[in-house]
Amino acid sequence: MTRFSDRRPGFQEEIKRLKAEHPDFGPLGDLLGSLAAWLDTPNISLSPSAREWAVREGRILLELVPLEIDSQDLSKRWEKIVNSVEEQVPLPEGAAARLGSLDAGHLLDLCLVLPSDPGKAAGDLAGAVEISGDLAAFLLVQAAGPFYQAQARALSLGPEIDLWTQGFCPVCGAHPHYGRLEAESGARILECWVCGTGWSHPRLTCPYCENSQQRDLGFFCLEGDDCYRIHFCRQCDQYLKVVDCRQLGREVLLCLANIATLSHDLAAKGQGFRPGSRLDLVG
Amino acid sequence: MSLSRRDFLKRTGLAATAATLIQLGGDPRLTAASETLKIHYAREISTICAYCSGGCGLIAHVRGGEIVNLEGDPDHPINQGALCSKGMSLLNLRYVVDRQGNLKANPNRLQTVRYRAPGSSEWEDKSWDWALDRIADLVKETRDATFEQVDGNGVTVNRTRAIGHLGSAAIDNEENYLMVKMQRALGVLYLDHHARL
Repeated sequence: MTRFSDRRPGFQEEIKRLKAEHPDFGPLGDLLGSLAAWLDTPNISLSPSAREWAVREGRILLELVPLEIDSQDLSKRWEKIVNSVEEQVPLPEGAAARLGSLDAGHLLDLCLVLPSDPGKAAGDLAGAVEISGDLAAFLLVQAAGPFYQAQARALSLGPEIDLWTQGFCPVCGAHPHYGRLEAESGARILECWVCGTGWSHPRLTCPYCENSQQRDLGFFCLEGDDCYRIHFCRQCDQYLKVVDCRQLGREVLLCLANIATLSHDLAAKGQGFRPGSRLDLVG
Repeated sequence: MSLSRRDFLKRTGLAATAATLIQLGGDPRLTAASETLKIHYAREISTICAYCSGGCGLIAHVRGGEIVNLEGDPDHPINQGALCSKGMSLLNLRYVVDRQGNLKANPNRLQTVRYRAPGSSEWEDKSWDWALDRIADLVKETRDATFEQVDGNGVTVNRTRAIGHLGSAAIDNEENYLMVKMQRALGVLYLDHHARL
């Protein structure tokens, strides 16, 4: 079965639901709603045997079919993002102009390095336009995400996804930032924050360092909210955010729930853990 | 664990931030840092259901040294997260519900070896070391007293017919192998099982 999370259906409805559940999410939800963009699925494909070979060998699909981002499309999207953010965020003086005049080639490079090293990509952008690193990471995810999602949709993995045992995305190679416990089985499905691909990973194994010593693994919840967990590993001191869909009583679009629950990332950092994804959205 | 608002702000460095993503969202940092923010830690420990020979995998949630939840292990090849009605009620071995509907430790759960001496009406608490030594002594004594090297026809049999062994439905292949090996080495003939599946 494919576990690609197609974010298109129900995106705006999910924002409404999350706004009701998380009052703080309001302005960010509106911004995400205005930035939503769905690119056409590119006309590329990969044979089932090639996909299965890649999965068995632990190779990511973008090694076989590299992502091609049209720099004109990217520039247009970037302009829209900058305009929307400028309307809603108190940016430092001149930051909007610096963001708007970012070199297209530089932006493309940042988008291409984003899955493998989001910390570096966000740090480069933050330094270039003098904004905070977490805002830079957010902007890059919004800019690059639709291109990766369209590519993942085209390469959509079938049943072979169940052979994938790695702690990183089988399509783009990003380390997961969030996942969910399935409503029916309780299995932990990790979902790529870049391209939306989902894959199963054992609950009692750290996806980042593969540690399976149960004395080092655990999770915590914030009081009164058992739906969202922070799974952590004390061997590598990294964390993964997990939505328990059994508690929540419904499936959720994780890319939105992640932004609606930034307070959990803060709590995790406060407890001394780092995001295993290296995607730092809380400064 | 509980964090005060002051601790939380200090740890997250809120005071030093400016124009961050968080500020877009009406500052959930402040919400999270409400005076009584509490964090509940738990560990997940995998284990095996004790009821039958199916050997279904379980995940036990442990908080402060107490089991607070049991669920099927979705990564276990046998049950893939599912549990039967008995397995689902396994937590009740540890807890019972009182008349007010509160969970409390099951007072009937045995936590030590209980021994009643022959002819006695009193139960005594014993240690596992004592119990294992007692079993070993009785096995040795019985086997020595009843061991037959040859039968009435002079055929070598190396057996005792005074000991029987009953297996458990909840032990696995490897444990069964070792148990049978040991019983055969002792010369025990009567091996049986109380499997319910």
